Amino acid sequence: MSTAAANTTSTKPSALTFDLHARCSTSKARASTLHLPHGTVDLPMFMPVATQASLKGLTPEQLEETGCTLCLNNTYHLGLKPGQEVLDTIGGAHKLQGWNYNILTDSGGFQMVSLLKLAKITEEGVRFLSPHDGTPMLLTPEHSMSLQNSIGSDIMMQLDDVIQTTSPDHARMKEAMERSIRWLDRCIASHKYPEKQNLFCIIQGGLDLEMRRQCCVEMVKRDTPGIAIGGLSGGEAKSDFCKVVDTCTDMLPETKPRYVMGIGYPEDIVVAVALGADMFDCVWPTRTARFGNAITSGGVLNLKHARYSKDFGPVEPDCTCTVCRSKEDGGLGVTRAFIYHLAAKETVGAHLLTMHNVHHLLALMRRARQAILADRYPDFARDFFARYFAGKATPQWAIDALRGVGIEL
Amino acid sequence: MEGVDGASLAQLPDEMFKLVLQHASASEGAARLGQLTLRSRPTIKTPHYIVPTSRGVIPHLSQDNVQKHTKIAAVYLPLEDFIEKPQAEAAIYSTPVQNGESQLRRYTCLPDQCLSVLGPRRVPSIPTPAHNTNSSVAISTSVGFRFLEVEQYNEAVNDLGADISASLADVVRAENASAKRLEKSVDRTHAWLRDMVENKAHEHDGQHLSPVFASVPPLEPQRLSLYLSDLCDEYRSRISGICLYSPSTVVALPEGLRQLPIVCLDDPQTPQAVLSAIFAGVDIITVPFVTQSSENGIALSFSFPGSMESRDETLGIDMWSTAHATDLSPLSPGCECYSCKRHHRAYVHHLLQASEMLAWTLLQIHNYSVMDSFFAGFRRSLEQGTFEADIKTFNRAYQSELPKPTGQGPRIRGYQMKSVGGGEPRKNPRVYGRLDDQMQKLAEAESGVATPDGNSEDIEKHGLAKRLD
Repeated sequence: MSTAAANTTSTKPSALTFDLHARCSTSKARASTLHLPHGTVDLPMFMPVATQASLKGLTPEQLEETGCTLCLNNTYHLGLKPGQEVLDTIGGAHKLQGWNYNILTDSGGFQMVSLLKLAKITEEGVRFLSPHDGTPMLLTPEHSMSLQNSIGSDIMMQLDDVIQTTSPDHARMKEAMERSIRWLDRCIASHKYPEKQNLFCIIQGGLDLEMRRQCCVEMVKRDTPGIAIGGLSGGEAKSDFCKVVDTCTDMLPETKPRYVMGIGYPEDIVVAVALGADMFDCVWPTRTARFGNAITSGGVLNLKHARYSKDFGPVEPDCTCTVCRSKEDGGLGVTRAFIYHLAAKETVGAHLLTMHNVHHLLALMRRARQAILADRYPDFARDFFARYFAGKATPQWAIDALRGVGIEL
Repeated sequence: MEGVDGASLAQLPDEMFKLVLQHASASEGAARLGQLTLRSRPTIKTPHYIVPTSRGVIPHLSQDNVQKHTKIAAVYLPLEDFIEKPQAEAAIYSTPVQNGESQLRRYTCLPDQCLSVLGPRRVPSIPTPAHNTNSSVAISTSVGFRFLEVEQYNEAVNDLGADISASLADVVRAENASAKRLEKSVDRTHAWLRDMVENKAHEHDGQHLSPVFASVPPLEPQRLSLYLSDLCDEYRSRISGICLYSPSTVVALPEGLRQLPIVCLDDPQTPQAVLSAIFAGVDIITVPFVTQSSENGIALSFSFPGSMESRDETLGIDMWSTAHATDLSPLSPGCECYSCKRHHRAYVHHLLQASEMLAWTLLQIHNYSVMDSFFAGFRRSLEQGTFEADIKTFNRAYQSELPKPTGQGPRIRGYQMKSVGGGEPRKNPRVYGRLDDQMQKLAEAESGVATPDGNSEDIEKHGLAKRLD
């Protein structure tokens, strides 16, 4: 491990400030505010994923109306379309999509590994075959930084060596973790605008807690403006996921935002918040909307099921989103029956459910934050699980994880 | 002929339709200015356009976008989009409403700004393999072809409470239809109208009912004369307007019916065709090419009458063209729509390239705003008495056809097109190409991303990675 590098590289100055407002007196949950170049973000927060500079049919204005002030773009996709040259000419992704709030971009590496056949990681970078013509290609940390600089994201992620957390190959896992640290150093060195864009490091180490701890120590030394916990949501057991988050947050400084990558189920978020994480992202809420699934506090409803064809209630009772609010209340008064009528047939059906689902998650985060500020997060979590799994058993992993931080469901 | 004062012309029931100006001079053809006011809807100044909906929505425009970013004042809703269940049990009939509110409006969450016109079939409609019968119309639903019984339709009209309902028409599109078939067409349409108005008078005494627009099939005037004179003499007090399927039918209408608002459910292919329909005397017309253009990635760019100096300008700009890749200008210069004010060509181009649904939304907002000014241009021109000259200017200034689409639109759904059976080309591209197994896995995974593509040169050029040899 290159400890020498740790002394020579620092990302200061950073382009954010982080105000920690409250800590739950029982669990590790925190409420804070993140001040970014394009406005403030209240944490904990869920970030919807606008993969190709658009959130699945929603106008940036509609996204604003859900209360979102920080969304994701994917570097890999923007690198292909519209491409770096266009991004440079236009002046970045904010300008491209008419979005005046914050953008977070991933490194592009995850897409390579998860989408492409025969992606191979070497010390230089990620080798992969071009999906169209099969030519061997190489993505390096420097490429990733350069693209993210062109995108102009408010938060950028380091290129990391991601492998399946469930991989049994301990040596490879250790190599990936250590390589991620070396790559962070390369990212820091090639980051052009540390005063305008915040580079987050990504903690790796699979499910091996000792390896995660080592990684935390090294990454924290690099003093990036924020810290992500990566490599999760890759099919590992939920209890393992919780242990990793719990272990890492214990090692991380209080004064920096913590981002758990790829997490988006409401129950995962509620638990991860209790374990001390602040930021989350996932394509699930928006993707599942396109399949006709509505996220509600009583669980996920598949509105394509015929049982909803004559259900004239709102998508979610008491929801305050534009879609669910009644016409009398200034909303659209959309019913489950109408979503059933549109689902998978008209794009408007997807737009409406996407708006609802994003709003639902953001509202959940707002309530979680208020609960932390009022120091009643344990009650909030209990209430959430009682409703979300109404009539069903609460998953054991959630019970155990919350018990570990003093919350009895 | 000369301008006629609106007040003396317009003694219609409820003052629903008021002709403000009827052909200021002979040269204006039969074009006229009017005002259509229904119930609590905002008054619509005619000539105007009406937007065909699909399954109760304006394609790609969620209702909040309709309200905030369009001035769409009227929509056409086909019953066939709502009755795929056993018809009488269709969900729309169970929509709970209060105080005489319309079930159709409630079910579809239709914004209050939009007047609703109910008819049996989509516009443009998909030809059905089966023929209409004496008591039913062949329709196409999302679950296949069905028959809509006349009785069912009449009940739907009574129950759904659209602002305007068209009577059923036996429309024969085949050019080689026999004389006998054409005769049948007008006889059936005649009989179905009678059923509709009499059934209404019967069952719903005193209740506020959906005004009926009498459908007139697109036939030659002499074939229609008996029906039209009956409409004039016998049903005049019970119909509130005329519904045509081709602007060429206007000439068949006797003077007594011309005082009524004339809606035309047609599929004009160009703005010039819209102009000639208005010139012929149509008040409100469907213009399906607007949504079609949006789906084709074309930003409409014409206005009426256009500049005297212009020659052969394009009617629309193909946003698929890479010429727009870094173009930060609005879709049309000076356009005040949301898409033009907040976004630019480069974004719409990117969205099309990336197959993002938002491309169609932004184009719809823009293209309907172009329609608003187009029709406002007609009305101004009619007011000034320069309509005919302005039409000439327009025809000179613009090309005669919309640009051909070059890119891929939204996936075509079964209810949007007819299968002619056997050996047809694919309507939609395959989504999963050479990455089939990977994509399959991905679709099943809980967390994932969209399809990657791009060849190595693109990737390298875009700075995403470099090629190895």
